[in-house]
Amino acid sequence: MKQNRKAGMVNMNILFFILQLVLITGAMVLEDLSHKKMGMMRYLVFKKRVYEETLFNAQYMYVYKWLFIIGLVIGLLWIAYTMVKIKNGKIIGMLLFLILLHIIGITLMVSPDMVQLRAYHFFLIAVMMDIGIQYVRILLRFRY
Amino acid sequence: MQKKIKSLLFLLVLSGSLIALAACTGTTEKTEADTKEASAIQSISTEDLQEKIGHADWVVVDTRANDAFNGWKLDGVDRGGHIQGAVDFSVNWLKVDVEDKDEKLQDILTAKGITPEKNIVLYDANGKDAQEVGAYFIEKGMKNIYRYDVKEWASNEDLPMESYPNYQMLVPATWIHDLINNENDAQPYKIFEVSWGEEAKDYHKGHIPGAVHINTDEVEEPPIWNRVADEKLEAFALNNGITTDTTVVLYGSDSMGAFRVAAILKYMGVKDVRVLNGGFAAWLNAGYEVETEANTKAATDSFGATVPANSNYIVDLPQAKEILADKDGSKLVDIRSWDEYIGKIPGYSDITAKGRPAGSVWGHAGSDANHLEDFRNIDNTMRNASEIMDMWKEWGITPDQRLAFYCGTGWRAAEVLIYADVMGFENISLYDGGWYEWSADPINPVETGEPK
Repeated sequence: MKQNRKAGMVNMNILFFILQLVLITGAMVLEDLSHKKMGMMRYLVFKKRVYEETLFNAQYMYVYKWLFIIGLVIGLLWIAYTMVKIKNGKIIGMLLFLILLHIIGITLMVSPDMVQLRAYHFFLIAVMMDIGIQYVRILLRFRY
Repeated sequence: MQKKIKSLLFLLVLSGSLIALAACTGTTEKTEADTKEASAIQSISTEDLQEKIGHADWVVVDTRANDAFNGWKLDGVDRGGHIQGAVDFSVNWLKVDVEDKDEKLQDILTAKGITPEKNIVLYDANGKDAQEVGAYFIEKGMKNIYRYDVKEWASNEDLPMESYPNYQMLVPATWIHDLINNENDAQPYKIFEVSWGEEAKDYHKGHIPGAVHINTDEVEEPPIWNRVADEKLEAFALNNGITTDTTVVLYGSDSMGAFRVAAILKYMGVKDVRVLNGGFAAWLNAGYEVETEANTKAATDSFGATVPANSNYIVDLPQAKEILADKDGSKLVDIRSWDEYIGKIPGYSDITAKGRPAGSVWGHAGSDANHLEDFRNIDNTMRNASEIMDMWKEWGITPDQRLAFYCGTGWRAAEVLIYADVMGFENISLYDGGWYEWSADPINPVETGEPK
């Protein structure tokens, strides 16, 4: 019974990882298509304008930036604790991925080159969702 | 052993003879079919043709390339254009590769009144086009077909021929070929392939020799994709080596972008702007050379006029409102699909509003934002002007009015604007902002549904 549950968790973990890859790949595909299809470019330009006025306005962006920074600090403290106390290689690997995601998020926020991306907000959304999924994956790993 | 060899030889000779016989029979059948077709098509004299024009049971069909129908003197005719009262059914339409071609051609035949019960006169100037179209008509069950050489008609100044007033704006591939060969008689000229994007995929696949790529983003910008400011337009012209006196030839795999740039260049003040009728396919079908090496832009230092020198050619929101207010003398003409016009769909992924400027009339368009079937023939050449006029008459769009064409972002409307110009409409313009600009401000009145 316990073995079955463990196998189920492993499968779920793989599924979550695939979902994380799909999200990032989706944003990359949008960016690529925006250089090939006028319709896609115009759609992304339009969405960028809409997002800048709503979900990703200046105030929210400030909040998101700090959330990424706080998340990074939590990740660093967590990994340090795990390395000293728990010493579980798989969890350490997962925490490293979490830290990497936060670094990518902060880079997206502060780099002027990144802001120029046509699918900029889609990259941000993908990274945010990936971070959320990563927390779930880590908690599942702790549980089983 | 010898017996076996003899049998084998006999079999070989027998099968050889059979193959030869079958081949001969095939040839005979083909020749018979050709003769049958040729004999089914009789010739008609100029006098008889003159007498039959206008009769309800007769239809005169121009089978040449559309450019000849529009007004170009091709294949050695003395006068360009078409016989007054003739309809067009170009031989080139039989050669295009499109989905449901036969169905589409059948619709065209019906719309033009080319039906089996009528007497049909097919004319050409090269002795081939009418023959090919005739063979197709026979296949479609038409019987009373006549053939005529339009050179005879064109050589007699007393016989009426029609050309579009500004047919020169739409050029055939052969004209561009001659332009390149004679270097425009030492006058400045430029050929541009127009499409969206820096990547210029279509351009790199192959282009007209000497052509340079124009990215449409050079002349329009976000958020609503209106033309760029006049100073930027001048910089664009200088960067591309265009002056007011340059003969500018534009084309694209899809011509809509070329028409968009053509409208902007005319607004800026370039006097001689031409667009390849039928797009790059027309050049390829003519069998002319294609170049794959990219050509770089050759800049110039003076445009030769203050931009815009022809400011009335493109109008903005205030003028669009003026036009709508003048209900008797002006029309704001919607060049979008019917579903966009009645507000069923917005038509674009980056426009969310549905509807139309209140008071605008429907000028037809096509199936979606990327198509203009109502204005194009099956080979993407300009549609017959009389058919366009008939379409517009229903909506009260007439040449005596002040007309401003608009669509979503100015591409479809630009193509129709140039067609109206070719047809000789004088008081015409492009409302550049179109539905994108109009719908962005809630103050602007909007209508949906079918007009009452």
